[in-house]
Amino acid sequence: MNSPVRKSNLEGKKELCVCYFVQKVIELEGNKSKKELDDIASGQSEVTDLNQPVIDATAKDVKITLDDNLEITRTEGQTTVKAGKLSQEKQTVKKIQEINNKHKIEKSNDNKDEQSR
Amino acid sequence: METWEGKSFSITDPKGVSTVIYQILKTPKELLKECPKYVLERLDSTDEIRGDAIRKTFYVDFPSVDQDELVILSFGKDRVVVNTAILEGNKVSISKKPMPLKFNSIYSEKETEIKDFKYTPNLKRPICVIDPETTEEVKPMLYFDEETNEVKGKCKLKPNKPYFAFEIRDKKED
Repeated sequence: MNSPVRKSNLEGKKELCVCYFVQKVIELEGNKSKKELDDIASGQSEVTDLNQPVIDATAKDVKITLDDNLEITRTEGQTTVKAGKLSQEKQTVKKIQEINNKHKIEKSNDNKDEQSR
Repeated sequence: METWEGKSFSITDPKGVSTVIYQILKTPKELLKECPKYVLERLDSTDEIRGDAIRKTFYVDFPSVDQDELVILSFGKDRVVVNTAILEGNKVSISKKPMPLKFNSIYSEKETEIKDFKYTPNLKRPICVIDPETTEEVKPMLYFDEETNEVKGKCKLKPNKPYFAFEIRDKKED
């Protein structure tokens, strides 16, 4: 879907640019999107005439360390790499995930307690 | 010092394709006043050249205990392919039907000038703008307007050039 954002009016003090946005709202549909998902072992999808990446279906564990100076280090197997300082945005993401994961664990424990009763 | 477990997974971009991946996070109630409902986290990656292709490893530094939703954007010459995926444990599952989007380049022989595009960001509705040529995000420079007493944004966009913009939001009930 192509739609122009705005045309610029170079007279006066307007500073808008002419540009085209290709904009699509990606709608995640919760459980429905899960049903549509499928493993890709070889990286092939139904749409083969597009240039797409081949995606490995297996993720690996990475040990992450955050020091007192907010420097991140990633260790995979025998390899350790410094990944730079934790930005403000990433600090927010860390906070979000810590709270989300805490909620999920608590909910999971509550469910287990109920089942055992 | 803190230590925790993250995840990594790899993709191979064919020649002429450059992929970026975003993790979608849902903000917990405790943080809704300071953050929008959905937060997009662009995953860090490292590249390895393999002939004409590039093998990229993406890092999910803050994985969820159950599963993570990912958006995979693959930028080509005049198109972007949008895939959705789920990372659950050590398994990456990807949608069977990716969404291709084609954009037209607008050619002009006339020299154009870069202008600042001003807008006031809506912090509750973050829209991610990406330059398809570089795959870099076009981030606004925030400043405080003392006259109107509000935070505003200045964003440099080139005229006659396509950009890719997207947001994550809840689906409206039909």
